[in-house]
Amino acid sequence: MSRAQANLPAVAVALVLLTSTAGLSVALADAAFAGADRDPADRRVADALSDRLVTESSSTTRRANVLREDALSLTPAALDRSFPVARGHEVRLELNGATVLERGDPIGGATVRRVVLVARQQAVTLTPTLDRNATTIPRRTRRVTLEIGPSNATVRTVRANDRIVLHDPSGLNGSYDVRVSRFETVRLRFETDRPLARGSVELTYYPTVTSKATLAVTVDA
Amino acid sequence: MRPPGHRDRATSPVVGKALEAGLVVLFVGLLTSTLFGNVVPAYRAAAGQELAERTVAGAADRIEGSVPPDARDATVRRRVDLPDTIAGAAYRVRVDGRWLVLDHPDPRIEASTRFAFPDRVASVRGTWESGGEPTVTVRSADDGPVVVLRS
Repeated sequence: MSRAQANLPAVAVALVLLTSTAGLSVALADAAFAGADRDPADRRVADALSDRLVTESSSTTRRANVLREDALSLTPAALDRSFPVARGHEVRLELNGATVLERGDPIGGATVRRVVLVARQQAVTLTPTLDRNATTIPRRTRRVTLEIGPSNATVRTVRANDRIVLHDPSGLNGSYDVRVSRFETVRLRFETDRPLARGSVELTYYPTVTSKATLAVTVDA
Repeated sequence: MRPPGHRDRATSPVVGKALEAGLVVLFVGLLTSTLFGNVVPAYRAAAGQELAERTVAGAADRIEGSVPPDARDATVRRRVDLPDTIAGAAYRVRVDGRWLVLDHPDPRIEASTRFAFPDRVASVRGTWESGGEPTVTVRSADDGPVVVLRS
């Protein structure tokens, strides 16, 4: 009887081969699954948070994509309050590679990088030389503070690029805030009864210095 | 009279073939039950979970992207592509407060994400059933845009 069972070992070998092939396929599928395992939630939160951070209505920006310099020194609690999407995630914000906010310890996770402008506002005070009672503000600014001191001349009207911004028939005296256009160079002209002496007007303007920076938002679950 | 043993000589190939066939059937049965009882459902659930996460993330992105810039009166209507089924079953995407939640009959598959809307968005509501034509509508109301999901 054993003479005819010669192909039983062959069947056994075939089955062993099949089993190992099946095992190998399962292992390959496992590896493929592990390789395809992304965390879209992290990426989405990082993307949404970076989007919220630079949007125009955000508390951290001056206008769309222009961050205020001090804005990113947020506390984690303020981050959660202003940007609820970050709640419950480990978050790190970096500006030009320097960490400005870190909550938890995000290892890995998803990082979204954006090129933004960081605006720093300065206050520059100068005592202009009033050539023919006029002066040009050297940098563009949103507003100018004029300090008109007492002098021998009476300043009745101040014009910014021929538009009257201050007027008082009995004479301007004291500190005035003037809104001017950010989009044109402003020339201030003082209308007085006699030429103004240097030093009778002091003006402060607020130019914005912007620099490019990379904002990196890292979010880990 | 034949010598003993000669009578059952012909049974030997029958027994052999039966043994081989039995072994192969046993093997195939074992392999099938392992694959379909254990390995395949686990992979299906894992793939479904990944797909669910992606679906929710993509849908939330689309919904957030439909909110127009600050405007007095704007209406946006946008179609969203969702997979017809996840792991072979119909599912539902619903809004829960400020969360987008995916409900699936398989308890191993679940996904949710928090919306990142601008503060001026007044409310968001609605439900999407898979297989429909999911659309997101943004209407302007007195207290801000209202986001509604319809399928």
